[in-house]
Amino acid sequence: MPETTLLAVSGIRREFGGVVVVDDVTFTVSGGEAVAVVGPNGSGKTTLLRCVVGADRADAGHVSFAGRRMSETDPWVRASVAAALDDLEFFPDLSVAEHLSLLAYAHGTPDVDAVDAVIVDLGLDGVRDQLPPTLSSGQRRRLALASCFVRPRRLLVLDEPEQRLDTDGRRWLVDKLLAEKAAGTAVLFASHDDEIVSRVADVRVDLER
Amino acid sequence: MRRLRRGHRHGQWADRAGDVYVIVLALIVIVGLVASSVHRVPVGALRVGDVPPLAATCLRAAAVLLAAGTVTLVLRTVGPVYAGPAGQAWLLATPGDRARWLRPRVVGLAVAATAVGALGGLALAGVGLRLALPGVPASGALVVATGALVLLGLAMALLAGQAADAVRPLRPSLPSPPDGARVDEPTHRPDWPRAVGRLLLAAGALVAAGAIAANGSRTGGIHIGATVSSAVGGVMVLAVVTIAIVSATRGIRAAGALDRASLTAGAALANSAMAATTSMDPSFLFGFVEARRLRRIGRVRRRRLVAPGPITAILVAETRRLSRHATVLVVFAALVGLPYVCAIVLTPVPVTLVRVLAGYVAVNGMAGGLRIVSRSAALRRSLGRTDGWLRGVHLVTPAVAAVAYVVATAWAGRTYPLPLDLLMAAGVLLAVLRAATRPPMVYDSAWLVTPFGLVPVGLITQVVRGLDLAIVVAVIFAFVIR
Repeated sequence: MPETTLLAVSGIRREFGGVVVVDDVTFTVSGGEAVAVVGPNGSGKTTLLRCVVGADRADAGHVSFAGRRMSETDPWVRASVAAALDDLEFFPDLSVAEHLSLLAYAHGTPDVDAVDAVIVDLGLDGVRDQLPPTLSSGQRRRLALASCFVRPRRLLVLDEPEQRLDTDGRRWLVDKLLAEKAAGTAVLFASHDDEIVSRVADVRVDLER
Repeated sequence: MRRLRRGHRHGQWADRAGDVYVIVLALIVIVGLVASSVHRVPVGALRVGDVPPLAATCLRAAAVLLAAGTVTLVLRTVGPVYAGPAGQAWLLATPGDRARWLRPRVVGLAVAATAVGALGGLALAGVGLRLALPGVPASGALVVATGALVLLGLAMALLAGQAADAVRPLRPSLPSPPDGARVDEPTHRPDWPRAVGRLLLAAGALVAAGAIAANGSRTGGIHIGATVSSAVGGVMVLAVVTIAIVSATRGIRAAGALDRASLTAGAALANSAMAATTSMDPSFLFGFVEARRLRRIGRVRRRRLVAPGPITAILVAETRRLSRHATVLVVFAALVGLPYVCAIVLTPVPVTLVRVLAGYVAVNGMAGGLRIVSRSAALRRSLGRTDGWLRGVHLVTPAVAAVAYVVATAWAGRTYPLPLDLLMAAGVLLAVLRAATRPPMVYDSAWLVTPFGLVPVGLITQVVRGLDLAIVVAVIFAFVIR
């Protein structure tokens, strides 16, 4: 049974120069629950997720996390929300393993074995000593996902996490998201993959125009 | 085909001549303005009277070597030969004789580089003669010849450098040969233009250190006569001309072997430079060059990141990152020496100006982590904590660098009490923080109408953010705190 509401999104609206991209979107996500945002290209999935985590400012509406106003600069929110959107960056001169270890340390959970396990799970073991500019786009995508799993989180926000993952990778992703739900993490993700959505999501938010 | 192309070019020559005329006119106006400004500078008030001849000779030699090394490395990075989009689409994709197309262009580029180098040498010589050191035998012609030929030689050397890089065989992962089979290992040629550039820089640094030592020990008793100066200059000129001729020959011969990757790599860098110039945002170019450098490094030695807590973990990561930027450390060391070199010939006021501005550049180089964290909201979200906490932790490295810099340069022309140097360190650090926290460029800012046309005041203030505060600190220490 889902826990109490962790994330509450109410009446979110975002427009760019008169073009409405996200129009009056409302939903909630509870602990242990997964909400999938679906829709065709250009329907505003990424924009919605960016407004939710505070990377973009909505023109109208309200986002709250655990009863508090969601503020991107709030350290409590940063400690609780792990997001892998399209703008994630890395230190270009730290190796994959060093970057992930640094994130774990920064959040106060320096578990070397856990970091190693995430590196292996996401197929980054062969590139753990490589610098980010040398990674392929798929490997960078995996590193972005890994960045979310090496640190504590109560809410996981992922933008098309299945991108650039092969069949085994997608299978792993499904199992991982189900495990996150079982651990009580709230999951909000955008996806084009019907199989992942059907197996993981408890609620669908359809942005199809 | 040629007749059709010639017919198409009717009228284009007049347009091209017009463009060349405008460019030359603009250059003459700018050079004239700079020359008249330099002429008005009261050199006598800025220059010390008694410069030991040995130190002066070492200074000139060091300046030539350092300029030679810097230009070599910069040109080696840029690579002067590249194919634009039309060339890539048509000429590189055809089975035609690439050498016949490239060689005339390489020769033309060499001639143009020679002319630019000679003009640059003349300009340097002009400044050098303007700042003629008293008591040192006149060697104006030597300065002119040395300056011009050094730049000529370097321009030539880099043409060969790119060609040599292109024909260097790759190191493929060879499968294990069957029993009895012989596999020829590909030879790996060294990157000699980069090695030459580093050698020139190292030589220049050593000679500059010699100048500082000579000035410090006041070994003015060692009189360097005109004959010795000319001999030293002559040897340098001979060496540079030899490098130039050998390099130019190699470069022109190897022009036909330039492959597509070599020609298009230069185009990518040229495009980044153009984007940086057009948008007045140097991060376009620096980011591209940095990414290319890191791709060249590729893989690093595996070392676990171990620290007692988050702050030390970030500081350990900063140290690791600096260890992969050897150039930053070398530049820092060089900028520590710069005020001492200037103190040989300049009075304390300009030396203080140089000290503060060089300190800003040196410390700014150590603030890479601060810059990355300040400019990436996504990375700050990922790392957690507050923005202030993250910036504060990443300010530790530049703060240490600022204090180290002022301590290391404390004996270069300082006329005020030593504890005030801590204020200088704080001022430099604030300037670096201001530069690192520059927000994204805004292009709809104020423009000023001037006799020279529209000047983007708003853009300029954004570009010089950080440097503006460093200049204020320099002026305060040079003219107020004395």
